[in-house]
Amino acid sequence: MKGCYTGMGTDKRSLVNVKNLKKYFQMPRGTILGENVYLQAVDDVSFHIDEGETLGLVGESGCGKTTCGRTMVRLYEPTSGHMYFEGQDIFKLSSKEMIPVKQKMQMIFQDPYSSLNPRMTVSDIIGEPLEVHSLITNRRERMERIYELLNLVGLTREHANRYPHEFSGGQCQRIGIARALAVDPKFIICDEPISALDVSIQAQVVNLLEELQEQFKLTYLFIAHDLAMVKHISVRIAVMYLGKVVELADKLDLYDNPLHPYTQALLSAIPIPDPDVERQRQRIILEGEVPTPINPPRGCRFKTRCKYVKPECAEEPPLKDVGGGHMVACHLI
Amino acid sequence: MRLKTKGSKRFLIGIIFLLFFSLVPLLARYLSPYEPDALDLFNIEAPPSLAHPLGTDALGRDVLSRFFYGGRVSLLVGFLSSLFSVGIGTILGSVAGYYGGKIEIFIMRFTDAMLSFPTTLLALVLSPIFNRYLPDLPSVWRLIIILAGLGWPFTCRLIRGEVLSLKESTFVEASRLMGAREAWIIRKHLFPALLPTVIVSVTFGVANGILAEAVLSYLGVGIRPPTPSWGGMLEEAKDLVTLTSMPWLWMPPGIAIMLVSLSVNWLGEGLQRRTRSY
Repeated sequence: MKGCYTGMGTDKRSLVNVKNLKKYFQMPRGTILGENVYLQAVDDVSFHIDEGETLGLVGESGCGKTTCGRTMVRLYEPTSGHMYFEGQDIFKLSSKEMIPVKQKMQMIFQDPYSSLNPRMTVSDIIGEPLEVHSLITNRRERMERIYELLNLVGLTREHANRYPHEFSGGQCQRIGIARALAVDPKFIICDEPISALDVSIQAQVVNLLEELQEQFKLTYLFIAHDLAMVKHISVRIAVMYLGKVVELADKLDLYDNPLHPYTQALLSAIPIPDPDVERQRQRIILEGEVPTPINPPRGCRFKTRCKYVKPECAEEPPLKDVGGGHMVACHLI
Repeated sequence: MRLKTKGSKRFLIGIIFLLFFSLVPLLARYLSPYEPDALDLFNIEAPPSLAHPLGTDALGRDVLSRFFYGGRVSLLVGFLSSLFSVGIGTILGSVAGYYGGKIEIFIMRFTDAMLSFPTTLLALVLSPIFNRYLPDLPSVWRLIIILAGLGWPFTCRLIRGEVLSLKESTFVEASRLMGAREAWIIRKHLFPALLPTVIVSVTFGVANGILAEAVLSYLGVGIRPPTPSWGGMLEEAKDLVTLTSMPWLWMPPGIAIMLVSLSVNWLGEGLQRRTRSY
């Protein structure tokens, strides 16, 4: 059974399988003798990603989607849960055992500038993973590989000796992508890779990511808050609210038939590029603010803002399959 | 590193002055017309003349020769105390910033405690203690140890702050994510980023060291006579008669201290501008 995905309606072999992932951050105590306070950034999240698939992870700022991605690669140490990568629970590995695993998992960061060391040239930046994993033996091989990677992401060998500050945001993101590709990864977490970019550049970078996925059979976890972009690139989409996945479904299924009230509200915010339809679009405007994840509401986390709230919402709704892999955590369904 | 930038002139002047003031003491042996300790009892407190271009002091020693040799001591104290204090501060600051936890609390609270003492006062107290327990230690080394021991907390704080922000930076995270070991991250990301701060700290520290040498020698706890030093020369010239009627005794070391610390500061400022990251 190792590595086989079971329990959520499919038995396909999954590359990534997250089970009951929790990440709590300890907050400074109010008083010295006070109780420990925890920020529940990610609370009991489970999903799987098949090989070659893109899973979109959406939600508003502060809902824990970035924390989720970072915990998966152990940039943050998980509070509890499992993350099976190629059937192996990587949360159980020592940092030494993690090194070969890290070669197969990479990340593309939100801010393209700060993810590149300003004191290193592009060739040093892209060459860094090659050297860390000793994938090259001599200088010539190193430069050839760097040129090859630059070409892959649409840059040229002339760019190799420049510094990050000489590039635009889009180009920096391409350098970041080249660095991620240098180790021949299988799985890439794209942590809002386009949020910091111009709209015109966003499409280019997304297209590049798609081309690379096809060419190298990559698997993506695509974290974003741009719903239209996520719909374009993803196969399935998970919607997060306050540290929990509230709905997870095939993208068409999700966009045509959102079941969770929060997903409905979220999707109603997407403008439609057709003036006639757009005029009739009904926006669901949510009341109130997102509660703080330090002391989230008991039971359904969305109950404070849900207009269909019922007494049973005081109980925590499980994420259940309502058919065809469409999963939703709501008592109303 | 950009060479041309605002304040280029001061940077250049700083380099030239510093070169001049380092070369002269280094070549003191060849430039000095007399031995620094040679007495000429027939020429006591003589004004500048051809035989003694800067005159002589109360014991008939040639002021120019003492000025050259004194510069050697002053610069030695300045450079070494700065190198040592920045060295200690960098190591402790990086350890505190990088590893955090109890080590950080211990180092930083100790740093705070050190910083809360007035440096000059502490040096005044430490000096006789050193004298008592290490009487054979040359006064130059005693001064260097005291100044380095009191100067490191400044650098420690600076470096710790920088390491803290570097440690959390996305490019270090990216490096960690690709499987880089601690040693690699320290060598490839931390050290190059800290280097500008370290260099600038050393330069400013030199100016402070020279000034501290002058202050402590002037107060009588620095370089012990007969070893010449700029601060010591000022000390010997602090009575009213000398101050009013024999300017050749205190003007050269006074002006030299001022110019050297000024040029070192200009140099440091210029380096800071040129090594700043974008």
